[in-house]
Amino acid sequence: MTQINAVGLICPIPVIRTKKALEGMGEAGGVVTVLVDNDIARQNLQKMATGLGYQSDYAQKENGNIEVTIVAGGGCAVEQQATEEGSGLVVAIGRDTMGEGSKELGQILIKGFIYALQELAPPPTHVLFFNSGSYLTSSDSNSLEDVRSLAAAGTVILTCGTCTNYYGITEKIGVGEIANMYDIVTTMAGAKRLINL
Amino acid sequence: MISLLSNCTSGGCGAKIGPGELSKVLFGLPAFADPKLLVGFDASDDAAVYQIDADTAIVSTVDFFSPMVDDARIFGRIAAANALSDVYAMGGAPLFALNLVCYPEHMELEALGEILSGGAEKIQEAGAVLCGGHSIYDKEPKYGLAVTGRIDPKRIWHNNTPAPGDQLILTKPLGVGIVMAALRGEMADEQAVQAALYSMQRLNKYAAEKMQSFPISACTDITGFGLLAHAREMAGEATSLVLYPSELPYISQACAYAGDYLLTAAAQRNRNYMQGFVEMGDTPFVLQELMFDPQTSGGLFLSAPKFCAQELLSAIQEVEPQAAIVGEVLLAQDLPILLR
Repeated sequence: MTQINAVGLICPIPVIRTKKALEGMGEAGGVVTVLVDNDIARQNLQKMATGLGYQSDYAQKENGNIEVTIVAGGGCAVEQQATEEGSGLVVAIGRDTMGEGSKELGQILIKGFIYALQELAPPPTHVLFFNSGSYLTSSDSNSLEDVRSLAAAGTVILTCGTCTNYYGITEKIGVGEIANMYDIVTTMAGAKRLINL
Repeated sequence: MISLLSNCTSGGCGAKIGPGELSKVLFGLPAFADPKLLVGFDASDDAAVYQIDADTAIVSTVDFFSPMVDDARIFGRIAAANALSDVYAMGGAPLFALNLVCYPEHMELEALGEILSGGAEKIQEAGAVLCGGHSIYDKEPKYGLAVTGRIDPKRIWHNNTPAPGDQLILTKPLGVGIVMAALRGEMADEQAVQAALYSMQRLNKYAAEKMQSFPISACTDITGFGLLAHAREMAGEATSLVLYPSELPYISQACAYAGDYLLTAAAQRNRNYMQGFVEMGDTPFVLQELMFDPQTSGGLFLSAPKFCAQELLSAIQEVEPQAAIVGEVLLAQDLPILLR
């Protein structure tokens, strides 16, 4: 987490410093907290965060200061939510169909399932994709947009790297991160509730 | 050279007390009634107009602020151009001016001399005379003028009397607030800064002179409240203004800076103030920001009948090449300002 003290600084300096800190985090993302002394600076920071597609929040602090928290990238958002108040729900999807029976029906059902998942509030903290489930995060997936909505809502999307290598679709993964088995195990172990599909 | 800005917490018209805040206290003041007072502060017009006889009225205004640039002489010019602007926005001609000076006791006087010289240059350019002033010690330097001008009482350009069917013209590019914010953040390029400095120092005299031979329904100058707040003021109760965001003149780099969120506090205050009065449509964020951008010594914003608007624009463009028709006037709609 990066902390910026912008008390006494006037716009656009708090915004510039925060933006630089966010950019310095690169792809991995992270959390920046900024302390400002006026609500207009808070509004300008949140305007930037929203414009850049980041989640943000703020809290009143002592001396009339305001602490703005901006979360860049999905990962950190959910780690925080999981430890604080998030749903604690992890969904593990190991196949590209849902249930036993017709494959065609199974594909319709899994698409419906993921669509419904992204309507869930609060959203799952993590959704894991492995084995043929890996196809669902690839550019060939007709659920890709729904998975992206999940990611935008703060859900961490992890796809098994061994699986994407095996199927030769690593380059096609269109959302979230590639994960190893250790990531998958620790995520499952840390779940408050786990749905296995 | 000493740094003027290091002494300042905020500068230029961005330092204006927010329009919403101001109206809260102005509301409590008594309304002075004098039939000779043709324009008083209850009209929130740019300057006061007091009638002397059938053909003569005096127009009176005062304006001052703290520096928004480091160069003392340029600051002086900007502050003076800004103060003189209110006279032009009413349709008047400046006659004489008084200096208003606040200056830190510990700062070298040389810079003050530069500020006053810059101001005097602009008073000369305006064809007016400097005839005195008042100066006090203060923590931050501030400078401006009280200006008195002459105006024909039958040809006063009020700021809230546009007629449905009129077209709207803006004479200077927007974005000086954004460029100065970028400069503060050390992210502005030289060309953008020069464009902003030129614009702020430019007297509205030249555009106003061109306007004298045309019928003008309404006119104001753009200040720290930003274009939209002035548009709302102009719309009043009887009309709504349609603005064309894609037609707005602006300093070209300002859009990129707005996209980088190099935004002032004043712009956000202006945005808050205008909430519920503007139908934004699908106006891109950066153009929205230009319309909220606080302008120091901004251009004239005027409403003129459609039949002569194009001819008027051509005349103004001889002296202000970036001037543009930026909108039109409708009978009052649901909201005072519509962006299309």
